[in-house]
Amino acid sequence: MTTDSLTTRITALSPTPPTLDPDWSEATLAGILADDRAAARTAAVRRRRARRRTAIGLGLALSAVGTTTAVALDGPIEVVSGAIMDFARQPNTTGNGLGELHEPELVAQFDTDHGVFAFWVATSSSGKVCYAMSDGVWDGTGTPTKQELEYGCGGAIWVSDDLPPQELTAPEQLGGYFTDSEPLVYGISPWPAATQVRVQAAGVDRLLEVRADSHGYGAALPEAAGVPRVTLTFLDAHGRVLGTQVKVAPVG
Amino acid sequence: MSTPEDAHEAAFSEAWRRDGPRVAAYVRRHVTSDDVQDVVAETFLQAWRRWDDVPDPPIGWLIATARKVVGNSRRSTRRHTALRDRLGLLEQAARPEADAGMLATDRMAALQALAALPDHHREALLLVAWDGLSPDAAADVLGVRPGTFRVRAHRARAALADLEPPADLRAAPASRPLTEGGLR
Repeated sequence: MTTDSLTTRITALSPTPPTLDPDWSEATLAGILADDRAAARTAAVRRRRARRRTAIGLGLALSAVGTTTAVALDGPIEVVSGAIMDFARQPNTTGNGLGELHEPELVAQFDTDHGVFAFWVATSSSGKVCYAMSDGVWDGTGTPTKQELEYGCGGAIWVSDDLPPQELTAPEQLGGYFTDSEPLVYGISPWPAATQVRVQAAGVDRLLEVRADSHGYGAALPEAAGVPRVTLTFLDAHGRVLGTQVKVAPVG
Repeated sequence: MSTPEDAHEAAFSEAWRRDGPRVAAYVRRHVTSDDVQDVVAETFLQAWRRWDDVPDPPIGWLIATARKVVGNSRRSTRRHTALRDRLGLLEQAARPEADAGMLATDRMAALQALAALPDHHREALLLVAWDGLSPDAAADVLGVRPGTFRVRAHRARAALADLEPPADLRAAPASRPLTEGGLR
């Protein structure tokens, strides 16, 4: 037998496209056709222009994020806390047994090509690690609504395409390098003394601020298109190297 | 008298009914069944907003867009509570063994081999074998050059060969000819 036996079998398993539920199909089609295409396009252009204005230079962008966070401190944090605690109160979720939720901290907030990416993390008295994020839904101004956030606690996380899932037990496990749309990197430094992280790859050389509160960092990396992995070098306040990590983008 | 907007709507509606199931078939192996409709709807909503720029036929563009929608969703789910087990998704998406004319054990072995492949290898194989795209269209979906895609598909087949169990442990193969959409 040749290796075609496996490939032949895989081909034979080619699925028949599922029939769409007729009611759902017609209702969804009608809903899509009712969408105001022109308005959506204008809004997208306006958002892109606004983002370009706020993203002139890394230093300015980081300052803007810091300022926004300071001004709105009692806005997003309260919403994130509320969302996580509501989640934990629901029966049969990974948030059960949360205990006392510690105050969420912003890991990173930055613009991407499809909107604002923002990520918060919170631990709890029982050792749970919880998170909330918005990826292009919340516009980054004011306070997000609960409906604009995804959130949860603990559970399994997919750390790599080549490794089995891991139980989320530490904030440092969150984040990574992602290229499924505009490349971005974010995470939490495993070295608490880190103040900066250098992101390097072919055509990529960035120095990102590591937040003093959450030890989080993050940025969109449009120049990393086509780059499968980046190396992160964590630096302390004196520029000394604390350690490195390689982040590989999941594929598929 | 029909307007250009009417023509847009007619063409889009036709694409929805014709290609919606194919997009759903692609999406089904990347997200759980609960999320398939949401991803399909979001994919076509993006298509509608850019319908002037969507190529004809749209299937490659639609699958590429669905891939991005899935990717955005997985940015969160990869590190959230809902881990998508690759084998489970493939099992959910693949043709049942009876329809495929093979033993359940052979089906599972093939799906396990697929699940064991690196994602970019599996994606390259299945865009052609399951989604019926040409290698050039599949290259477009992945945003790579056709030559790069062919190399990737070749490496995927080689990786499958490495996963092939010894001949004496294999059951007799199902007899099914390779089709245009098959692995090459």
